[in-house]
Amino acid sequence: MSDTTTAHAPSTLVHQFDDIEQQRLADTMGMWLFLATEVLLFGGLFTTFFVYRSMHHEAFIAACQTLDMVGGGINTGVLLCSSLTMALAVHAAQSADRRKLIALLLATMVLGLAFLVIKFSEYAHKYHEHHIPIRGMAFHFDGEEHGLDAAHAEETKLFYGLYFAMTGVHAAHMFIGLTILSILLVRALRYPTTTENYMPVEISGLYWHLIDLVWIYLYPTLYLIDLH
Amino acid sequence: MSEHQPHVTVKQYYGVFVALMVLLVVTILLAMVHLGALNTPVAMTVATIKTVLVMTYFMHLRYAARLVWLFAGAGAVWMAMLVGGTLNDYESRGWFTGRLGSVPVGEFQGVGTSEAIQLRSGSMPAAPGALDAAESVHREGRTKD
Repeated sequence: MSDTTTAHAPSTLVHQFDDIEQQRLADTMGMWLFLATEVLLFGGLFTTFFVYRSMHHEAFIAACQTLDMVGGGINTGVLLCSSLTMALAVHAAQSADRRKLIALLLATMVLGLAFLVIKFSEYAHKYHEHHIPIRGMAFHFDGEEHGLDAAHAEETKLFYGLYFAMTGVHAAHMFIGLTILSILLVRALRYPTTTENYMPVEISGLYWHLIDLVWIYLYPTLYLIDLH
Repeated sequence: MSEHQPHVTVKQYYGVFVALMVLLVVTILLAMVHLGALNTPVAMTVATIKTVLVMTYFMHLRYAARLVWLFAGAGAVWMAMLVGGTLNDYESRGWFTGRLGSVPVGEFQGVGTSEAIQLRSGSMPAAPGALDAAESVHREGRTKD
């Protein structure tokens, strides 16, 4: 009894589907539908950003230039690497290569953590510069240095507010992604890896790549487009 | 995985990864060149090329069923409507006229005075002078406070 349940890791054919192909199509389609809602969540944030940027362009230019574009660039590279290791992890799962799967899941998690460490060191820097527009915290933007009068310097709060909202929601997704990866890791350690049960890795991979895609747009939007 | 179905190969994954890294360098270099109003569209175009690469290969759309393409495409279309529609609406109302001369926080350009709103809404099909009038009323309102 118990040996049959352990031998079948979750995600083999469940009764409502005719065959495994149909089940996989449903899994994939459902995930893409969820990803579409994620795209709209971030779409709202991007829309807000571009609307306020068009209305307060001077302040947004000045604030954009205070961001650490090197740190952001390194983070983009780190995320692209993690997307590669994730894609290779899916490939290892499909080929039932358990050792490779475990190693690649670990590599993806390490890269994800590295991203968060760099991100939070950027936040710490913003804290020291008093660039965090939260009630109860001293906000200061040196307008003179950037040729802004007091009123315009005040508008940079909008930029920093959106910066923290957008990168914060993105970082929250990274935490969720890392949680999912650790569940996959436990599964890979506990259950045998067969060519039949790769779907959880595949679906989680789609989520991980979406996080990467959001950052691919966040990086130029926040750090690059107003360097001039 | 079933043997008859084509799948992305390891070689393709590495190829896409190299392309993504090259595009990252390209987007940083282009951002350091002054292109004026073109900086944003250029950066977004490079980001979209990267997105297409990730979706096609890393996310396996290339070998996915047409139904999955539909769902992935719908997300992109909704996103385009959300961003494009909203920005076009703001632009066409003239609320971005202060593109390089912004208004103080808390004051929404074009909603500065009730007169300005009336002139603006009345000026939709009317003479272009009405918009200028709204602009000057608005500016006067601002200098007063």
